[in-house]
Amino acid sequence: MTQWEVVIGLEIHAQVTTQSKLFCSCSTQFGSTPNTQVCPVCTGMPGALPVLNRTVLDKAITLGLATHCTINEHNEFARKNYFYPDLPKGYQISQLDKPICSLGYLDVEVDGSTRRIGLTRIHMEEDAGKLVHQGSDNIKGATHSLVDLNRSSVPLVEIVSEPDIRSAKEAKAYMESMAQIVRWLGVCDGNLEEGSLRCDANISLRPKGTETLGTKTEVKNLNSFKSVERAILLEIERQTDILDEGGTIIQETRHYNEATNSTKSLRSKEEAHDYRYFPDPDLVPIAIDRAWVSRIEQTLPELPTARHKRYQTELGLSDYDAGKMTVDRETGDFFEATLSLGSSAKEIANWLNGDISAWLKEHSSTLAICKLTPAHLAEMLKELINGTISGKIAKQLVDDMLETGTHPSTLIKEKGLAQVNDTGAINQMIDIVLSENPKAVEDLKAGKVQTMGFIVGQVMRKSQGKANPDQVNKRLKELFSLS
Amino acid sequence: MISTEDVRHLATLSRLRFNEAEVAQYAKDLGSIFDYAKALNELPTDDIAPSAHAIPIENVFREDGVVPFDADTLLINAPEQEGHAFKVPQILAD
Ligand SMILES: [Zn+2]
Repeated sequence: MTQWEVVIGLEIHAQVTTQSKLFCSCSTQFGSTPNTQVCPVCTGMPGALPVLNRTVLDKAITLGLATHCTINEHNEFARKNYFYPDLPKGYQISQLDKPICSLGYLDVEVDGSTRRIGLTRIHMEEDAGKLVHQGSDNIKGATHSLVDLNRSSVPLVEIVSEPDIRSAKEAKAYMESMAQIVRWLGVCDGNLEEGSLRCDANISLRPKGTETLGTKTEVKNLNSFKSVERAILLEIERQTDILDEGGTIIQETRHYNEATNSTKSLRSKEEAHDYRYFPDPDLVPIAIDRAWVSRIEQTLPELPTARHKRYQTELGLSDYDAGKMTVDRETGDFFEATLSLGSSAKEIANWLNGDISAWLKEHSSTLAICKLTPAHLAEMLKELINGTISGKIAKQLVDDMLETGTHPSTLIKEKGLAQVNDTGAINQMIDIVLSENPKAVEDLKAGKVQTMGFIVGQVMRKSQGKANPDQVNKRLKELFSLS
Repeated sequence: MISTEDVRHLATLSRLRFNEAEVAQYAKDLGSIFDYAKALNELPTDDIAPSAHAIPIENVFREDGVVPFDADTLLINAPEQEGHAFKVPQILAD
């Protein structure tokens, strides 16, 4: 039987993070009342004139540089003409043969090895509006539809990959990497739930060892990393079944349904697409000179993969810890800031991965919005290493710092959390505990070492976790001549 | 020359309905507009770079910032509205 090779190319639409839309000054805020962030430009009123938002251009160049693309000196916008109720002008303003970026790549880690996925192009375009179908959850059963144009003309970059992806797993890894990079660069907030990042996949099969591409299908509506992987697996299986039985693949668009994990052909009575692209006469050409590109190049941050490697080689972090510390820019910058205040890399990673991330998860918070600062964490770690506080108290302290944003020294002073290292005070507590537990004293006298743990526990309890356990141990050993 | 087939295709793309007489008429009218524009082909353009705009201008931008617009005025012209949305008829029938 023929062995099939899978060929996948992804088109990712990322919403560029801006205050205002691509061609007008309406807000891009998500979730507002329908049609409250609209104006004559983004509703397609006759005579309205679009003017390009410079920030979108800067961010598209940033993404292009980070993905090793050529930044094209000459850019144009074109009209892509089609009718649909979510498109008020009757055309979408996009870029056709003069896109902002071309021919780049992204290195993606899959199963411990690096795969280089080529990028054909990155271009800028405007989003369409949003349709809500009424009377049915399916467009064909609907009695009518409601149009919300708040999304209309929100800026997008479309990132088109080469057909270099060879499995569903690779596609997911590529999508995750791209999401990490656009977030890291601040190009896109990467919020999949709000549709800031969407993906379509072009999938075809060909006999292993051949070069000619097979007939492809386009699977749309891949709105989560899991969907990308599952939908592609489904489509590979569907195409394999057809080809194994000697059938042929029909070039078509298929819609993925996440709830039922199935794809459905989108056959419409529409004529074959005929978009009649032409340069938009309302927008003037863009010339990007070398100075502009180098200005942006200089602001380019260290990228997550480079930082990941550096943390392993320079700081000695494990692959796991280095990955966690570069998962997003917030964590990376928090880690760097704490590190610069003298804390140990491993300690910071442990706390960020452990208690801090647990607290953030439980309180649906993030490092950016919580009250903990790198300075406070560094101070707390210093007190811990110094022995001013015990590990147990440190855990309590971190929760308080996250909750209230209070400086750890203040908390230690106010709540009396400092570890008791005063020998007199510790010995006094030990005496009290021993007098309360005559049976244990008998056991200790009889040389039962395991009873020591019980007494240490009781002393820690009495001191509310503040007694230095090493000192308690030492004193007990002295008292009962244990070793 | 614009064929009647071209006119039918354009009519479909433009969501317009023509009868046979109109199709013939538009083929003739559009054909003569086309022929008129063809006069431009007589100009020597070999040494001229393709342009995307009628006047030599580039790099017109605005800075990213929100200027709210009184959006209610935009809904006034809607043939039908529901809630705060434009209401449109059924999009795809079975
Ligand atoms: Zn607007």
